[in-house]
Amino acid sequence: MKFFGAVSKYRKLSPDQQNFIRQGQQKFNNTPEKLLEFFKPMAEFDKSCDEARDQLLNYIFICVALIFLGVIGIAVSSGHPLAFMLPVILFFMIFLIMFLRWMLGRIDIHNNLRGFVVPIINLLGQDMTAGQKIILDLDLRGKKLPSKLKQCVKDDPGWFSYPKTTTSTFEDPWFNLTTELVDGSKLMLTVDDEITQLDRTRKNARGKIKSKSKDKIKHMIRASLALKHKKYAVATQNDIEKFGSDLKLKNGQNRQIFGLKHVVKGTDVEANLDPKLCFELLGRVFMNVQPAQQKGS
Amino acid sequence: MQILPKSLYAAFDTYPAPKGAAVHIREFAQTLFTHTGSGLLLVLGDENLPSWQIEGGMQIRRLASDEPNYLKRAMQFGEFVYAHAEMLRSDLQIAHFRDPWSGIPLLDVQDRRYKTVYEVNALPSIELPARYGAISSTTCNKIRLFEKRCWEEADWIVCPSQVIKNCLTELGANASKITVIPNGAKLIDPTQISLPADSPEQYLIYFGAVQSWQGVEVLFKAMTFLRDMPELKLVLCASGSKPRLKYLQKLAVRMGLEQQLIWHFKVSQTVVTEWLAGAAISIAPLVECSRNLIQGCCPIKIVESMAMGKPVIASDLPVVRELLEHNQTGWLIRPDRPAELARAIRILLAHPQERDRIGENARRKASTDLTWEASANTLKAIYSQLLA
Amino acid sequence: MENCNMKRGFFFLRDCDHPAHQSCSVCQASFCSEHLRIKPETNEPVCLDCLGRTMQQQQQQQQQNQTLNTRNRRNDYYDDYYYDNAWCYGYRSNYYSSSHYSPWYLGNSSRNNSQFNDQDMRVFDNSADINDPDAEAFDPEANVFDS
Repeated sequence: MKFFGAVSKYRKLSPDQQNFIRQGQQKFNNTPEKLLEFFKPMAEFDKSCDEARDQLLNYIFICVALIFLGVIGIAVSSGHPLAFMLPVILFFMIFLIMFLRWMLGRIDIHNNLRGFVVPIINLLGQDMTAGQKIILDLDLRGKKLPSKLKQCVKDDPGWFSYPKTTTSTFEDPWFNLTTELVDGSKLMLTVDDEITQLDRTRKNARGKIKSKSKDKIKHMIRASLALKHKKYAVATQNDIEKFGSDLKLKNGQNRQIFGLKHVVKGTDVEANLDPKLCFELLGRVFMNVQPAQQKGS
Repeated sequence: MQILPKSLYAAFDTYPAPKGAAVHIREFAQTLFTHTGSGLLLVLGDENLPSWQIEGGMQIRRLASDEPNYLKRAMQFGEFVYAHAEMLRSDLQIAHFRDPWSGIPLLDVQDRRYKTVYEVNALPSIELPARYGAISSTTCNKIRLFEKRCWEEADWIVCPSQVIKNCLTELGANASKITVIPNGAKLIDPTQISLPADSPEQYLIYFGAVQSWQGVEVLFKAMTFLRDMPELKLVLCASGSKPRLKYLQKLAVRMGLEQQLIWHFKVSQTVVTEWLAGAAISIAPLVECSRNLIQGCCPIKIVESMAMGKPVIASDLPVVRELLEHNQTGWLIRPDRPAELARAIRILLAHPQERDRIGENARRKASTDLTWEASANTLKAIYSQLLA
Repeated sequence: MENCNMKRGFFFLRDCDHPAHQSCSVCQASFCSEHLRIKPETNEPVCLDCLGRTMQQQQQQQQQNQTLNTRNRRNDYYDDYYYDNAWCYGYRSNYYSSSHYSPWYLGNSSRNNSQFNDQDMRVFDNSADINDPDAEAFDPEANVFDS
């Protein structure tokens, strides 16, 4: 049973790691190697936790199916005491499994940790000099916390009047990374999520009241790179045009700062963001700038 | 007629300069030259310093290079040292060098009669990667080979801290020919010093070079926690590269510390002494990095503060523990912890009698173990042994 | 002795200057021990580029087979290397081909261990000094998107 595997992985985590899972929020300032050392066991635990929760959900479906079969069995066996016992036991098992699943849910961390944060650190670490630190501000507490609610609009036509609609907007700036790359460029990468939750209660044709909740998520990825004039030629108007209207450019005496953003929309609040989107933003900058004198000098 | 120097002291560093290394060079070179009767000091210079200077028994020759590339400049300095050593190879008794750039040419001289002393204050193979991020491991290995040749072929090795000795031993140096000579300081009674006219009522002091491993950023962060004490100032008698100093100034502005800081750039030792005399606490917030942890150092700022009876708050690192004992001769905090540093500053500021006690203990320790006289005596004993 | 043939980095490629240790059983080029892994199935040394590419191909095949499952899933073999550098090497080859990115090449290292050559020297040019953060140093507080 995967549940025990997940629990054992959780127990193997250090108190700091367990604390991070519980708190979900921390500011880090460490080398990519140290950060990966910290996140890797948590990511492995998160994976087995998700698998265990999926498995427990399957068990619940199996129990429900067995209860259904048991009820048919009672009818067929015309009141055999064992036939009564089985659905009762299964019924309690469902509660037990649901409890275990809820327990795992409490220590489950958002998939962004293993699906986004870890790959980003791993890959950026490849382009950093040894010992260079990453400043990382991470908030994986949850996307729909009351503290993150920015707006709540209610469309309520009154008592017993339908449909009623509540639109809640949450803002979750959960990822902020700052570091310096091997070419001397300073990098800042942020991800701000905006979650719109639409709760709609309506009356159907038969007069029954139905409620439905729908989420929309918008990830706003922002990458800014401060490139040294000593390394890169100042971008010309021609270069800037290649970036399109997304580019924000700031010129300094010694550096030119390129800011790009990309917005991705989705509906699954729990799904992780694809790290490739960030690399594409950074790649666009590095592909379109010119070396100061000679490439790589 | 000019007297031929009997000894040579070479350092790939600007002398004089407002930093601990220059004090060290002065003290050790004088000890050597006094011991042998006369000497030649080979150092770097700049457009404001004479290329040739005679001060009593000490001749100073400076290489004023405008070569911007560090390694090329180091190679130029090597040629400069080699030319002098080759010329004086029969006259010199001892050649003392502070870095492999000076050491390799001194060891390269054929038919030399002099003994060599390698003074290891830092290993470029460890310090340079912190400064030049793109340095490759091959280049580092080549520099390490230079260093290795120096510690293998030099007749004696001196270093200012046990951490450096351990580092060298682990790298393969022969521990039996390494002597630890801690940095020293001149004992000064702060009450005899006239304080700067514009000195504030109460202030902390940071003095010396401001390389990334010194932890000035940590101190700045700590100062942001002390904004509730507007009368408290931090005096920085800082030396370092222009861009680094400019960066730190900008950083201070960005952190909103303009009102809390008093900057003094590249001021003389006398001015530093005046400011130190009036300071409540001296701070040495060294960073926990390989330069401080593995290579080691012996911060002169700590030793000088101790010699003036000033309590020092410093990072709890092995190199610092060689000098300070927590709550006895100093106050140790975990490195890279600005909040902890701010707390320590508050504690010591709130308890002047504790400051006095720690300062007095520090001064006592400095007067017994950390004087340039003590260092000079140890060094003289080594020279005598080599010449015997 | 031959040097490792691996290129380090993602946006910027640099030559690995460690001496080569063994040859990759797939591409036959020589690599240092840091850039080789022993493939569990075959017990043969494989370089990180080849191993990474295999991992990426496996993952893509798996994703095609699991069209119903939208969540990001990996097999155990892939997981073993997920946090290893091997993953980065596979990802980068996939990224270069899918995003048409061509990395900057920050020069090769020297093969001569005796004296300092131009490759060693260039690192020490003033422009390479990372300890001189500029006046316009990156400001983490500033948001360039605020206009």
